[in-house]
Parts: sequence; C-alpha cells; structure tokens
Amino acid sequence: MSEIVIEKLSKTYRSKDGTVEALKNVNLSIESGDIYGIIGMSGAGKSTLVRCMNFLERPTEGRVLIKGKSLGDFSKKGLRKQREEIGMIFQHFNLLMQKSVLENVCFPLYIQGKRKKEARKKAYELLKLVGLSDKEQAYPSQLSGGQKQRVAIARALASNPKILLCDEATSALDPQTTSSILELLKEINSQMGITIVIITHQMSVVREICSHVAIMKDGEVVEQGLVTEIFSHPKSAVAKELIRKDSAQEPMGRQTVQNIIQSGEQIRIVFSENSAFEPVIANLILTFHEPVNILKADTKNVGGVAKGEMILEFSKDSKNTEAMKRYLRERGLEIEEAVDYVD
Amino acid sequence: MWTDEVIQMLLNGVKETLYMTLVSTIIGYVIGLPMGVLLAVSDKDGLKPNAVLYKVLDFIANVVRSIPFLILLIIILPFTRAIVGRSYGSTATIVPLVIAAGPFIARMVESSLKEVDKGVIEAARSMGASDIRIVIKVLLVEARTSLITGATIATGTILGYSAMAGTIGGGGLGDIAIRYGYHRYQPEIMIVTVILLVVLVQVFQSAGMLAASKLDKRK
Repeated sequence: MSEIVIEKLSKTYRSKDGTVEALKNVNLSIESGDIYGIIGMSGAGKSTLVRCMNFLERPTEGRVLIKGKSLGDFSKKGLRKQREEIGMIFQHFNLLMQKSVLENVCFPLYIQGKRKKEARKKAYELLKLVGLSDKEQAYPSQLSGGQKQRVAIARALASNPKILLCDEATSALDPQTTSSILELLKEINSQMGITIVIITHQMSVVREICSHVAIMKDGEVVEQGLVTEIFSHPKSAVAKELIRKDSAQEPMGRQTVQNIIQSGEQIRIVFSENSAFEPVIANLILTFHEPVNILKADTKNVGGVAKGEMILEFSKDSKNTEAMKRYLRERGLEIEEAVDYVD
Repeated sequence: MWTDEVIQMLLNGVKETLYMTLVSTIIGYVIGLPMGVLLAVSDKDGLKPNAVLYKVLDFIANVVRSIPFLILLIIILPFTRAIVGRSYGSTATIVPLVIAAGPFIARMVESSLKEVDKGVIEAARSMGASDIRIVIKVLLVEARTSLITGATIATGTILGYSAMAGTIGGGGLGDIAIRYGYHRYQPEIMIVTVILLVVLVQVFQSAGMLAASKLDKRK
C-alpha cells in the first residue's frame, strides 16, 4: 500500500482581490521508503501541497490518504494523533527559542503525554543520532543553521513518525551544510525506513538524495517519475529549466567559453551506465569529419547512479547536425536541445 | 517639620501605594491575561479566528481605555461602594485601578503574543499540539520576555494611576502629595512624595528589566 496518496487535490484561497488556485487537481502516490522530491519555482504550490499532507492546510477538493486512511475523515483529535505519525521540518527550523535543545526535542513527547524522564531518555538518543549529544543544554540561538536543522530533525523524529516532510529544509543553508543534512536524511531513510518528502527549488537536492520526483508549476504537477529517468530525458520545459540551472550552478569558466564560441546548435547529452565504455565523441568526430565543441562535461551522482552529462556544440555551418544526433542516439545516449545553456 | 509623625505618614503612604499597585496589577493580570490571550487567539490570523469574539473584546478594551482615569474613578463610585463598602481609601481605589488596568494589560499581552514567530506555531501544530497547548507551551513561553517587559510597563502605569486616585481620597503617596502639598501649602512634603514615587517606579522598572533579560534565551 502506498504511504501517501494524493487524489485530485485542489486548494483555492479566497481573498478580497479574487481567488488564487494554489493547487489544481494534483495526483501523487508516494511509496513506503521513498525519498520523494517535489520541486518547482517559488509560487508553484509545493509548500501548500506538503502542508496538505498533514492537513496544516485543508484542501478545497480531493483527498489525502495516509496508509489508506483519508485525513479528511479524522476528527480534530484523531487528526492530531495522526500528525504524530508525520514529522515535519522547515526552512527556518522553527525551534522554540526560549527552550534548550533538549527541551525542544522533548516537546513533541510532552504533547503525547510522555513523562519527563522517559522523554529525556528518548531525546538524548535522538540528539546522539543527529550528532549533537554535546549540545543538549545549549539554546537554539547558540547554534549554527546546520545544527539548528539537526535539532529540528531530532525533534521531528521524536514521535517515531513513518513520514518526514521537509519544507525547503536546506534552503537557508550553505552548500556544504546542505550536503551534510541531506546525508543525515538519507541515513534516516535507510536505517529507520522513514518515507521522506522533500520540497525544494534546487535540482541538486533532488539529484543527490531523491528516488522519485514530481515537478510542479502553477499549482500543477507537470511531470513525475524516477529521478534517474527525468534527469536523463526531461519532458517539460520546467524540468529542463531546473536541470539547466543545476548544471549552471557549477562554478566553471562558462562566460569565457561563451565569448569564444558563438552560435552553432547546442545539445545536452546524458550518458548512463555502460555508454561510457565506448569513446562516443571521438568516434563521432572520426565518422563525420567535423569538429564538435565540448562546452561542458561532468559526472553527477543521481540517486546513487553515476550519470555523465555533456553539453556539445556543433559547428556553425554544420549540415550533419541531424545525422550526428541520430548517431549519438543509436549509441544509447539521451539527447535534448540545450537551448540557452549559458546564462 | 520632619517629625516622626510625618515620616510615619510617608512610610504609610509608601505601604499603601505598594499595596494598591501590586494588588491591582495582580488582579489586573487575572483579568487582562486571559483577555489578551483571547484577543490574540481570536484575531484574523490567530490560532482560532473568531470575528465576533474579537470585535467584542476589542470594543471593551477600547472603551475602557478611552475613559480618562479620573472620570472612571468617579463614574464607578457606586460600584466601588457596592463591592468594598466605601468609596475612599486604598482598598476602594483598587476597584477602578483593576478596571482600568485589565484592558490595558490585555492589549499588552495581545501584542506580546502576536510577536511569536508563526513558524514555531506551525511546527507545534505539525506535531499534533492542540490550541490550548500551543497557547500554554508555545505562545506564553516564547513571548515570555515581552510579557515581562509588558508587566513592568503595566506596573509603572498602575502606580501612576494610583497616585492620581489620591486626588479624591484614594490613599497612598498621591493622596499625601495632594493633601499636604496642594491643600496645606507644604511643597516640601509634596516633593518628597514625588521623589518616593520616582524611586518606586525605578525599582519596579529595573527589577522587571533584569528579570526579562535573565529569562531571555535568544541571545
């Protein structure tokens, strides 16, 4: 049974200036043990979507099923009980600033009516898990962003949830801290078997840890599936744009390259697994007797699989462009237009 | 003129002023704290918006706060007499002080609670906390510094009001200042009472600020 099922979900906000459709007929199914990414630009409705998964926001239409049970059917009390099964972490950590780290982690346990001694024991264990056992008496204001998020993760895990919702959990962190937090989430997923839903606007986050992804735009899911699949051949314009931004983030001397090489068609190719054995590009050049510019080449870790990514540019007056693309496709490479590769 | 009698009278004035101020502040909070919580909770973006409740409380708070304290003192004299049995003296003054302080305190509490980060409230909600628990364990705790600062301001204001009540025989230092300084032309005594009032306010202010900063874990 799927851990989370979203059925025909819509959310409309009414205000004085009319209505805003934050979500339009969203359908998703998240399996137990997945790390599911939901990506989109800001305003795409992803934060609203994740808040519907624990009914912090009530959808206008449609259903949210957690382990087959519709959240809308629960009483107020039942819903609160159900929320204990769903941990959540936030972009700005949302810790209690007047309480110590230990008390922050104890907080959800007190809500459940656990005794102080029992709660503290559990909190110690969790702080150890997130690598902060020496900070139990500190206050949030004395911690770095990454440490605060670790406390928030420990707190979210305190009630032994089956699901962890992460709302832009790494967006306020620097790249290095982001990696370490993602590493921790991966550990939690594999060791505790917790299903993780990650809301983000960064493709790099999805690429690093997600198994599945849904891409959102203007309140709709425009594309969903395996990350490896979508990374190799993105169909929607949004997906392509997000992947392009991800590539563009790597610090390289792109600007200079751009200045030297003008025009000529550019394509982005993705190698997966075995295609790396054959010297494809060298053979391509030998076959067509025509130079090809490699604008960028990179390997990326996509959900644990090494994927090669390359941006090629054919020479300006080439008449063999189509034939060359066909040649590459025949060799098992994914190809797509890399329109406007350089910003 | 600094006879034992005068000194005794001044000490008694300090005692009465402290009595009126502290008792009124405490009872003021008994009324104002729940009222402030209800205002914060029932407002549009509060925990449980309730337009009717908010409007009613908002109206009461505004009406009471717009009546000048001296006028309030006089308007409610029959009510005071009914409760305390007489309309003069420090115990009788507590009645109008509480009525004036309650809504004032409610406003202070309301604004303190509204300062609490919405994200923290959302986090508590996501953990399955009920509204009541959020008020007690999140709002009141996170707003603690601001609440104590508010209490300090409230105490100072109530002390000022209690002195004003002296003009109609309310007891305390204000009463002494009016009777001796104004009616009997003894400005020295008036000045001494004013100095005593300044010292009292200073003590409350410093103690409040010290407590607020000691309890603030955000820095």
